[in-house]
Parts: sequence; structure tokens; C-alpha cells
Amino acid sequence: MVLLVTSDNVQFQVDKEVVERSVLIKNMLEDVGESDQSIPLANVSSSVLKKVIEYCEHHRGEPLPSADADQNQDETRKRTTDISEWDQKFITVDQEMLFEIILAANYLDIKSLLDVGCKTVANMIKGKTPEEIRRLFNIVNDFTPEEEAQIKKENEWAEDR
Amino acid sequence: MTTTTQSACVLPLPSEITEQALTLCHPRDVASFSQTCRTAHHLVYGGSDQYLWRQLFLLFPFDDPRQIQSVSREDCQVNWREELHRRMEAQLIANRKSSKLEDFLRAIETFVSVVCSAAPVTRGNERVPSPNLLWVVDILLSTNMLRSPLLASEDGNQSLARLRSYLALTLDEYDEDDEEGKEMLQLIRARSRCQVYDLRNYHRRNDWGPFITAGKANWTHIESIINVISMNLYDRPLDWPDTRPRYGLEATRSYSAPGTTARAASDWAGVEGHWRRYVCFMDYRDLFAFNYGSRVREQHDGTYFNNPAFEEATRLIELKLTLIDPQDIPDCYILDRFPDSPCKQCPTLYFTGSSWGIQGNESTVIGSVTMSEGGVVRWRLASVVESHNIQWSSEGVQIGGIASAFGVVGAWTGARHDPRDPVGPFWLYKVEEDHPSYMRALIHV
Repeated sequence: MVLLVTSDNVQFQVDKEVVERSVLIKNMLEDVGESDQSIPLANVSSSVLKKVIEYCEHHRGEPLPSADADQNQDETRKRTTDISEWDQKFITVDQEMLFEIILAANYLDIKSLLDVGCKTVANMIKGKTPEEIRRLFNIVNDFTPEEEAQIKKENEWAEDR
Repeated sequence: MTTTTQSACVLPLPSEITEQALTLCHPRDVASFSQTCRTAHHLVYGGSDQYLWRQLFLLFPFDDPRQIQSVSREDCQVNWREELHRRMEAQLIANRKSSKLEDFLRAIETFVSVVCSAAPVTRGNERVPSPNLLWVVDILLSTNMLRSPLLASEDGNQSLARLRSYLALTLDEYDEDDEEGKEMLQLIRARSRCQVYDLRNYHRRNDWGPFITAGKANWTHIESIINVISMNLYDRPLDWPDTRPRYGLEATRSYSAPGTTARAASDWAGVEGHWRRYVCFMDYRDLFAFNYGSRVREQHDGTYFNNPAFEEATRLIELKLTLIDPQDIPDCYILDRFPDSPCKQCPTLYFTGSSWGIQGNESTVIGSVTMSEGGVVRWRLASVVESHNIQWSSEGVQIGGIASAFGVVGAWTGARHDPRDPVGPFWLYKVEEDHPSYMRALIHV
């Protein structure tokens, strides 16, 4: 068992096999060796770590992507935003939590969870107009009208309306 | 939690993660995203390394243009963003109901270039289709744009004819009861025959072949040859039914011809091996009457072919070709030599071989293959009837990339180019070593 401590000072006891889906923690454990010391995660709050552990528990035992996955990808490369049913349900959270999970996955180096997060963001953008995307993510339009006209022209190649 | 200020990031995420998410989007969605605010715009269009656009391009997916052997240009700098925009725009034009003719023609040019940049077939991956070609076929099938009335009078357009050549009527199939479709095919056939059998279309300036000037392919003529031969073969379903050339976009890929992914290093064009060749011709009296007029018709009158009794001959020839050194070319080979190849990896190759025709007699062919300035592979061959006498010469163009399964399409005529020599189209393509043999069998039984 490994002891993790979150930014809000909550302790989590987690199976080594589960927690090692985080490449960051796996490397830490390898560096430190067998020890009872707790691992402080100053960038992750307890509510987010709870979700992350839930994800790692579910995917326990699955093969980790190899380091050269990006090269292998070339063989079967295809843009896909398909997400498995369980992951889909797991990632159905409010926007704030979604971004927190993505940040945690990035920090803890859990590639498959980061992928699920990025795919979810991509799916949220899919098929939307600029105005709809602004409303979705609370983005403030800071273009001047001239700039906006210019930028619309620049994107004419994508205009199918 | 790291706090991110709204001014530096569009989403409360580091920009490289936002970028990662954008690589999974359709380019159209990325365009929408870039229009939301300045930071988003900078993230999409401001980067100098083109990482985002390269990912969008490759994941679309399209074939990686860096895999094509570059013929003339040494450096292969790809402007991923521009190229992706060009392709997306072409797709929009094809989909739109109200596109103008000039837009259509620009889109067609783009489709041709996408077909030409399909990745070569590699050993062990012979059955993996090219994403580029799937994309083009899908658009052409779903939009039917090549049947737009706007294009009806654009037969002289080289890009359009080139695309149609690659497709070889695959998009022009009609049901039995489709009278309008049948009529359309008859029109195409008459037009193609007029082009192919008009003796004025063969002269020294175009090397008596399907060229505008020597070296520059005439795709209108090539399309006509393909139409003539494929419709003749369609009319003869019982003749050598298992021996048909491959056509369509996949057949245009470099090294899609049988066995050519495992060619010898010196044989860049995939010359060595077994070939089949279809040759068509008009009865000499018909050819003469069509070209010089008769009591009932003017010269070059397309209605000549409407006579239900009119028929062309179609012959199958089987060949086996072997490379030879340039100094070993027999003296009887009197045809012009190709100019030196502009491409170091593709020097002009010479070959000889045996050919077996309908009479069961064996004859010799001598020829050469070269890479022309425009990146088109050219073939020239001579048929030797008796040991010292070249009777026919042929000029052809490889359709698609090097060693394409589609093969070589061109015209044959008398080796000495007398004004009264006959002329006709041919289609030469490579087959597996164990491909059924009909002509050779006649001799060896």
C-alpha cells in the first residue's frame, strides 16, 4: 500500500498496483525504494484524487502505453474521439471537475486518462459555432469588429454554411 | 491547484493540453475555436512550428506527404496548414450546390494532387488502402460532382481528364434500364473513338503518342484510350475474363503492381516480370474511311461509329520482360532514345522480352522506360517481327505513380511513321507470374 497526501491534507491508502498507473508516482517509488513515507501531492485536491483513484482502480492491470507509443501510432493513425462506455460515464462531470481531472492526469502522468479528458474537450467543441464555443467555455470575445471580419475571411476554407 | 489567468489561456488548461485536445478535432471545429478570442486565434494560427496543423493533417487522416519519393525537388517542406486548407476547401466546393465552374476546376486540381500524393504501397502492407484515395473516392461518390452539367463542356481540361483517366469510368456505371445513362456512355464512346482513331492526333511533335508535346502527357487523349479499351473489354465478357487490367484510384498508387514492392534495386520501374497487353484496332478500311471520308460521310464524322455493324478488334498479347544494359540494345532498335532522366534514382532503363499473340507466334519486344520532367513515367517499345525488322512502335504513359497496377496506356503505330500507317490504343499492365496464360499455351500444347 502507498500513502498519498492531497493538497487539502487528506490521506489516501492505495494499492501499489493501482497507484502505479501514474508514471510520476511509479518513478518516485522506484527512486525511493521500499518505504513507509507518504507521498505529498501538492497539486491535487482530495475531491479530484478520489476520481483519479476511481479511474485507476477500474483500469487496474491493463497494459500501460509504451514509451514509443507515438511512433507506433503511425501504423493505425486515425483521428478518433471515441470513449469507452465506462470512461464516458466516469468523465461525465461538471466542467470545473473535467479540467481539474485533466490537470491532475497531466501532472501525475496518466496518459490514458489525459487522452479521455482531451477527447471529451474535443467532443464538446465538435460542430459548434464560435459563439457557441464562447458560451460553452465562458470565453470573452476580445476582437475588434475589423479583426473579427478579417478572421472570418481567414477561415473561409472551413465555411460550410 | 495551479491557477491560470484568463489572458494567457483560453481554457483553464496549459496551452499545450488545449492544443492536444484540438488535434483531435475536425479542422472545421479548430477554425471555429480560433474565432472565439485573440488567445485562441494565436494558439491556432500563431504557432511557427505547425505542430497543430501537421497533427490535424495526419490524423484526418491523410497520407504523409513526406513518404513520397520526391522526383525533382530535394527538400520536402510541407506547409501543413495551407495544404489542409486547400483540401477542406475542395471538399466544401464539391459539397456545395451552388459552386461556380472555376471553383469546381480548382477542386478537381486539388483532388488530382491528393491522388498523386498517395503514399507508395510497401511490402507487407499491400492491402492497406491509402487514406488520400479513400477521401477522394468518397467525395466524388457522395457529391456526384463529376456529373455536374457545368463540367459537360470541359473535355479539354487536363486535370479533369486526368482524374477521369484514373477513375476509368468506375463512376459511370449504369443499370440495365437506365436509358439516359446508356446514351451518355455511347456519347463518351463515340467521342473517345474520334480522338483515338484520328490520325491527325499522331505526329512527330507528340512522339506519335498521347502527348501534347513530347514529354507532356495529354490526359484528354489518355482518357479516350482508356474509355475505348475498357468499353471494348466490357463488350467481350467471355474473352479471357480473368485477364483484365486493374483501374480505379487504388490502382494508381506507386508499386501497386503485382510483385513490385519486392523489385530489384536497379529495377525502379518494376519492369521485370510478366505482363499482359490489350491492343485494339479498326479494320483498315474503316480507319481509312473515317479519316479521309467516303461517299456518305465527311472526314472524322463521329456518326461513323453509330453503325451497329461497326466493331473494333481487341487482341490480347502476353509478355515477359527482362532488363538489359544500354550497350546491349540490338542494332535493329531504330526508335529515338529518351533524353536523360532528370532524376538520379530513376535512370532510363532498357529491356527486351518475348511476346505471344493471337496467332500463337512468338516475337521480340525491345523498349525503354524513363521518368519525364513532369514526374510521369514514360514507356516506349518496339515489336520486332523478323529478326532485323521493327514493325510497330508504341508510346505510353504509366497511369499514376511508378509501377502502378493500372499499368501503361498509350498508342501503337508503324515504326517508320508512314502517313498511311494504322494506329490504335493499347493498355499494358503487370500480372503475377502464375497468371493464367492463353497465348503462350497455344504454342506449347
